[in-house]
Amino acid sequence: MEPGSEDLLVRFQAGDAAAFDQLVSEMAPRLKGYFLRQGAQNATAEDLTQLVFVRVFQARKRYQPSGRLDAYLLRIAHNLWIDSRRRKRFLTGGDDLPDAVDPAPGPEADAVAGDRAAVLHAALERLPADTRELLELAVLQRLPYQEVAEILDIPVGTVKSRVYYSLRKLREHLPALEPESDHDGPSDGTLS
Amino acid sequence: MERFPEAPAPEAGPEWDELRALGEELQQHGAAVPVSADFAESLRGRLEERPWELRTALRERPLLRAAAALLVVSTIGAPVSALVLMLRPSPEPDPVLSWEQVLPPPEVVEEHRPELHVVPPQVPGFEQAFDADWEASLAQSNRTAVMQAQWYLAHADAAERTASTAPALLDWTQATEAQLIAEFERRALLGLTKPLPASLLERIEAQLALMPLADQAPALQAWHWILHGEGPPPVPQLFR
Repeated sequence: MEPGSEDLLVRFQAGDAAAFDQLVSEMAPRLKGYFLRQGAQNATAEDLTQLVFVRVFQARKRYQPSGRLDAYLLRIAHNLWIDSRRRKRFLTGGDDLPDAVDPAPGPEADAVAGDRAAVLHAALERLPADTRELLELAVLQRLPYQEVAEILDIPVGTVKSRVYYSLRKLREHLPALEPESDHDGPSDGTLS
Repeated sequence: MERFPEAPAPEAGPEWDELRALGEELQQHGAAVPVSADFAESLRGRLEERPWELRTALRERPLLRAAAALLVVSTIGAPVSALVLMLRPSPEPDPVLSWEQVLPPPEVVEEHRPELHVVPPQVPGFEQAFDADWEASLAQSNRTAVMQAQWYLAHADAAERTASTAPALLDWTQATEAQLIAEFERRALLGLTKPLPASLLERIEAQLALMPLADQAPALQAWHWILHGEGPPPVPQLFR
């Protein structure tokens, strides 16, 4: 999926059926994570993830490699997520209601239990939607700023400055989510 | 949507390092979330589903085919029919609309000649009911009606051309005697004798008195008869 690596979709176009399976196995968990962190529940996230691959499959003959393949899939995911929210707002009469609540404990519950990853994800969940998506693409999915700028339709310089301010905002949320024991020691905001 | 600060982010610095470390920590905890066990199988099922195609649907569903045919026929039918009607020669010539003046037949005109609304001077049972002035006025009114009928009989063919409906002479005090007589005649012909001022009537009568009866215009003779009941009664030839 990194630049220079052989494009799996090109191989699939050439008749290598295993390339598509490989693409699914590599990208499905990342796409599901993307949808989950955007606010989708588990079933919706899996459904939308499958829909990304359906779209890719249907457009396989028109595909022309330009840029990274994971950016291509995440762009489709971004558009599907926007459509999904729009359809939901239409069906609920303009209210942006969340999906049905998942019975599993959320990141905040895990954070209380002391899980560092859950703390980070809970802090991420508290961020506004646009900030969250920016960090998702630029930090968690490790897309280059250029690809993020194209997906979000903003200038590259803006992506860079927004990543900076978004990380600062994420850091502001962390102390409130840290377990009690971590607050006892000196904290200068350094997380590493 | 929350707004980001407008100021550009600093290029480097200790805070950037801290934030970069936070980002790396976020990355280490992973962006991937495991999918369910049946994800691949479910996806394969969706991929094998044939995408909806109009051609296939038309081939497989008779109802859809009938609905599509109806839609096509109703869409194309109207303009095609209009075109055919426009190009096809009309079997009958186009009707020509015109207006023809319809005049009533002469016998109908004859039937509508005015009646003489003459009130008998003496009504049986009411001989002494009214005074002399009233009887004189009634007699004069009757003579006016007779004169109007005679005038009408003389001018029946060109009644509309003869009877002027122009306003009466406005300032009669400035008019010559000849104009006064003409005005009086005109008003009389129009049945407008009643509103004549008393002073005007006096002047007209004075003018009439100055003229020998034989020299008076035929119309004035008639009016003399109307006003005073003297002289020969008017006949249609008097107005010709």
